[in-house]
Amino acid sequence: MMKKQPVIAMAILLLAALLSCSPRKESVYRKSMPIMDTIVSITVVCESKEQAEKALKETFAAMDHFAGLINFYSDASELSAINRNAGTSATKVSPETFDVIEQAVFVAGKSGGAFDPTIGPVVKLWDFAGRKMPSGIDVSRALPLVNYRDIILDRKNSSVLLRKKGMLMDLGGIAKGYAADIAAASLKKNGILSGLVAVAGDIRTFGMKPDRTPWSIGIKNPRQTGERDEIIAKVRLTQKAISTSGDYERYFIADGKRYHHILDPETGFSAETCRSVSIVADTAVYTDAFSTAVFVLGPEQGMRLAKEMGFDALIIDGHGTTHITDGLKEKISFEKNT
Amino acid sequence: MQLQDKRRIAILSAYALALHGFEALLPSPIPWLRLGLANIITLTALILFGFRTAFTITLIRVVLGSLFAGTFLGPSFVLSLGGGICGTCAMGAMLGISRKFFGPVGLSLIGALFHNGAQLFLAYWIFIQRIEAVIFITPVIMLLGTLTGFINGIVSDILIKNLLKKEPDSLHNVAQA
Amino acid sequence: MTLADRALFTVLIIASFAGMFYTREALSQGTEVIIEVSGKPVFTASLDLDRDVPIEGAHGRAGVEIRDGKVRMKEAPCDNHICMKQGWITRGTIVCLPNSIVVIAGGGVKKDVDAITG
Repeated sequence: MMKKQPVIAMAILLLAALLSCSPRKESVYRKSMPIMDTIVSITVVCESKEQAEKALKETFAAMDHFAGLINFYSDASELSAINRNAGTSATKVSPETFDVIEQAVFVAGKSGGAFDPTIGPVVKLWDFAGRKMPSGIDVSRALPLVNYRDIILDRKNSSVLLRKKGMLMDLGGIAKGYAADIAAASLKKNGILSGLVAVAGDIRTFGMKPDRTPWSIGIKNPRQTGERDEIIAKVRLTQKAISTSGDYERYFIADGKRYHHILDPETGFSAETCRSVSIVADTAVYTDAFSTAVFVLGPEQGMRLAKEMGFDALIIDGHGTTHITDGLKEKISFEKNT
Repeated sequence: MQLQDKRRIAILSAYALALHGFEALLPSPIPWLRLGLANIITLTALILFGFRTAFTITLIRVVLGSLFAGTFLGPSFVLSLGGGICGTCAMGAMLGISRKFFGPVGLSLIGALFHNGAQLFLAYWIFIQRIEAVIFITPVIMLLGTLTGFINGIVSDILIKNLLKKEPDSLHNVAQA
Repeated sequence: MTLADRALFTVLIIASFAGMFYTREALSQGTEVIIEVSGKPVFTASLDLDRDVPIEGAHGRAGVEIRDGKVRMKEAPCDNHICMKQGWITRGTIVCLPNSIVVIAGGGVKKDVDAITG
């Protein structure tokens, strides 16, 4: 008779060792959805799969709802209604819309107009995919319509009026951050204690990873050459948001000059003194809008604004030199290969 | 080659083909799982009648089998041929080294190992060119091959013993040769 | 069965399990789906973004479905449909040999960051 028992026992033992997982309390669930013309990725740390799925579902729904309100390209959005009624009548909007516009006006005021949500008429003249630059005359004609002071907010009636006809509000520089905050709030409401929301490059973190370490966020290398140097630095964050504005996202190069999507509301042309600006703050609505504002202001003035607001900042200027706040130094580690 | 040899090859090839075809009809619970029943015939032929017979049977089985299935010269034919040749050669070589060391089960395991090894190599080399894909599937194939090879080996063992019992004279000569 | 037979069987079984365990650990642990046709990558996307991906294989159009962090070959123009029978996977590979299509789940560069800003 064959002596098979030891062999079979061994095989079963091995199989058991393979299949058994150490009992895990918390798991990481991750899901992505296309929202606001970009990809939203949410990572949650949760003990139950059902709870995680429910939280993710509700959160994506909340974000989708918000995206519908402020969609620049949809005639059905509240933002489009505001733009249609520019110069004629105030538009009653939902609390989220009112709030995000109010925040936008706040950032615009703080940055002296370096960030301006009424940049719409100028943005419309540019075609970055088609590599088309507007003429100076067109830009100078559009510029008078760009002024955040012409946004009239009526808190009591929750209504918004753009004072001049032809004004166009574009919340593209703040809505993603705001959406990340909405997501974080929705997740917390659903009992999630730890998570990460990434609306493209606008990231909001809260809590810790299951191994009790902070979330690790890579900052994109503005002059990436390949897969290995995609990230220039890593930042460890918890309870914080981070956004980066860079001249490499949408751009074209004409006559050796880089034209990119971060437009200076003062000139109507691309801001030139930075390659990328990363801002760390408590909420993503601020990091999103202020990273644009600081980018437009340039390394010196921008750094001053960031410090004044109590934010952490990493600025990579036009020469590739990095400027960094003291507070960020202990949270950041630069990559060797860049 | 004697007439008797030819007849023997024809009959054994028919058996191999029948098993080959029968196996294709079986529903396979796990993808990639092939019982390799035809290898029972190859192995039995190898031990009783020598390498040349076994090798010829393998070639006939692969070519006719693919012709019947309509996959002649297709990807699965290439894999089948490569696996069949490599497996048979490996078993033949091991038997040539020692007739005592490994029994039918051990030979069958070696055959399965080399059969699958050759197929994986061919799949990588000709079709996939993606080393991760091959590395990932290799242990799974190896496990399945070992299990089926083990069973086939036992069946061959029984078959050989029965054949030797029934026709000890005519077969013993060959087996000793 | 000789002693060598048994020894070989044991060694092979252990080696298979060890191999499975090892490849599970050693293979790239990215969160991407990479689809290759004839060795060339034709599609790369995150495993956590649900979508259907039509792939033009060597013998016609195949369909790959990504759902809830899993991926499967939904349809393929081949005879045996081994790739489709493999069902949903979260890591590893689905190979459709006749069409030279390889679907690799959990591939890509293993990023040691949780998200990228910029």
